This record gives sequence, C-alpha cells and structure tokens, in this order.
Amino acid sequence: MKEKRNLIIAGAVIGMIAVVLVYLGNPKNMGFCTACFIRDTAGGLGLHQAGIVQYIRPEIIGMILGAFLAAFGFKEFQSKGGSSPFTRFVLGFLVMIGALMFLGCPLRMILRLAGGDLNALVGLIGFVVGISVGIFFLKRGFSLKRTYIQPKAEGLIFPIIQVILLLLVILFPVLFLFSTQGPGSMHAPFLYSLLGGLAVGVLAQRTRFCMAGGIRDLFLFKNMTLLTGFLALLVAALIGNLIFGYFSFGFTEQPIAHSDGLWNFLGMMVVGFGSVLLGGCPLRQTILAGEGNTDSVMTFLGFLAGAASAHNFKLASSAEGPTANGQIAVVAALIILFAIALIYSGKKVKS
Amino acid sequence: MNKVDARGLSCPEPLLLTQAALGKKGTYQILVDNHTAKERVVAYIQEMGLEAKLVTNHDEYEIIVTVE
Repeated sequence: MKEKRNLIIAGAVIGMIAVVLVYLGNPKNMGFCTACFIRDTAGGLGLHQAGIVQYIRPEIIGMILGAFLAAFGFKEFQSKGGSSPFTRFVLGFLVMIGALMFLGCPLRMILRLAGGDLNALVGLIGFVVGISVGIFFLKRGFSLKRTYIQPKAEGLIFPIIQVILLLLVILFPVLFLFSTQGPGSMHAPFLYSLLGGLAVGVLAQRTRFCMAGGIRDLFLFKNMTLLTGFLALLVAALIGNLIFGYFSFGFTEQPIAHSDGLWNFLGMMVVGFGSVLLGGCPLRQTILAGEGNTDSVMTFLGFLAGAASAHNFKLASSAEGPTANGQIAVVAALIILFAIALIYSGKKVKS
Repeated sequence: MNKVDARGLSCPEPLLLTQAALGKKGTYQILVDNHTAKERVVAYIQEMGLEAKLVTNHDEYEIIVTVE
C-alpha cells in the first residue's frame, strides 16, 4: 500500500511539474518528454542538423543526476552491466525511431492525452499492443541474460559526464547548438528545467516509476501498483492543463503532433514492444543509467544515436505527418524487434 | 531447499521465475541482487499471504519462503 501511495504522489507531482514547465516555456504537451529531450540534446551536441530541435535539455541532465543522488543517498547505487549491452543499444535505437514517428515517449503520450490530444489515444492502443507482444515473448523465456557487478568507477562515469556537460553548457555555451525557432527554441529557464529534472529523477528513482511496467504488470501479474503512478500523472496533468487553459480536445491542430492514426499506432507499438524487451520505458532506462546500470547507459546511447539518425535520415515525423523514410524505418524496426525477441527466447536462464 | 537464482536478472524476470517456482509445496531460497527485484518478490510473496524472510548480504538479497 505504501508503494502505491508513493507512486500516486510521484505521478501527480511529475504531472504538475510537466504542466508548470510548459507554463515556464517548454512546448505544449511537452513539459517533460524523455525521447524528445534526448533528441533535442542530440541536436544541441551537433549529432544531427535539424535546426528546430537543438537544445541541451537540462531536464535530462537533472533526471540522471537526481536518480544518481537518490540512489547514492539511499545506498542503492550499484555498478552493474553485461546483460547483452549491444543488443540493448540496438533496442534503444529502435525505440527512439518509434517514439519519433509518434512524436513522444510514453510519458509525453500521457501528457498529450492529458492535453486532450486524441492521437495519443491511438498511440496508447499501439503501445498496449506492443507491450502485449513483448509479454508473449517474456512468457516464452525471453531474457537478455544476467548482469554482473562491475567496478564502481564504471557506473560513476555516466553521472560524471552529466556534471561535465552541465558545466560546459553553463560556462561555454558557444560549444553547443541552440535552436532559434521551433520546439528546440521553446524552453523554460535553465535553472527551472534543471530543478524539474532533478525532482523527476529523485521521484522516479525512489518509486521505480515506469510507463511500460504499469501496463506490463497489469497483464502479466494482474498487479496495479505501477499503473497507479501512470494514472495519477494523467489526472494531475489533466487538471493542470484545465487550470492553465492548455486543454484542447480533438485530433487536429494539436501541438507538435500529427494525426496519421496508423503510424501513431505503429510508432508506439515499437516503443511498447522494445520497452518490454528492455525491461522499462525510456524514462526508466534513463533513471537506471543514473543508478549505475551501465546496460541502461548503453540503451541511453542507443536513444541518442537513434535520435540523431532519425533526423539525419529524415525518419522523424513532423506536424505535417510521417515521412516515407520513417514508415520504412518503423516497419524495419518491428521486424528487427521480432528477430531479437525470437533469438533471445526459448532457452530459460538456468537457476 | 529449492533454489531460485534470479541474480543479475532484470524486471520482470525475477518475479516470473518466482511465480513459476512457488506453484508447489516446499521451502524456497530466492536470490536477487537488485533492490527493485527484492521489493517486488517480497511484495508478491506477501500478496500470496505467505511470509518472506529477507537476509541482506552485501550486494545480494536472499529471500526464504515456505509454501505449505
């Protein structure tokens, strides 16, 4: 019961932070989005040249450091890795391709739903279908195999890099690219974004918050615990959007979204399927990366590479809709996910 | 004692292994090495109305449960 209560509080607070960050300048229905913000960071680092989505999002740095501090403070920081790291990199890459087809990670999907964007409902159906496919393979013994304890330094590198990045952005912003128009130019003041990220990082680390895990556990174990966080986030963001007047019900003219149902569905199906194979949604992977899990660091690097490729090869959707390249990539992503799921299923881990 | 070694496995595998193992009577020793798995396995056992005995050794957790 305590877990559920904490998840409700965490979900509600994260939902409120997201709405407040929109009020402070973040794009609408994008107060917080792991996929979009990693994409913007990839742009800020110059890994892709899409001029409208370049900004080192302090939310991401904050999330990782928040998770690190919470894990460290509660003696839960543990350097570990070795569970099919490169497969996880590929899975991260594919999840990002799916997320940028839909235009958002599962967290933003909920925020879009809370903003009245019905395309997110289509995405949610795809997400649930993708999770169900993932569960099918989990029941057949899918496993990326065991992780092993690593030297403490291995897990510390990623949080340290965040500190260095933070200092560089503050001291030498000229090193990075900053959008002057488009979503990348819309952002809350730096310090507020960083604080918002830190808060989300701490809350998500403490409660094991996960958007994919909630639906997975409901189907797999009939357990509602993780799902309560998901629902609390939806309700809090909905109330926030109504108060601030951001709520706009319908399919068309939604902020940073397109209304191509099939591709919204398939994009989020990739995200759901890939997230179950990874053991958590993009938000959860980012938190784990801060806790010393270097497999999740590999996944995060996959997100970053996937985001850069999505814009370099014109796979990412825009408000006008999906691109032909993106459609091919999402179908390819589904095929690769099935192949990975099959290859790693069947042989049970010996206990 | 039946042993379930879920060390190094990530969510939801430790719980899947536990669920599969606890179908029969007996005493089980479940080994996990991350806090999320520990919490979830213990919660699952408690939801079944059973008692979970938790031993923490360094980086590992040992959960003992008897199914009667």
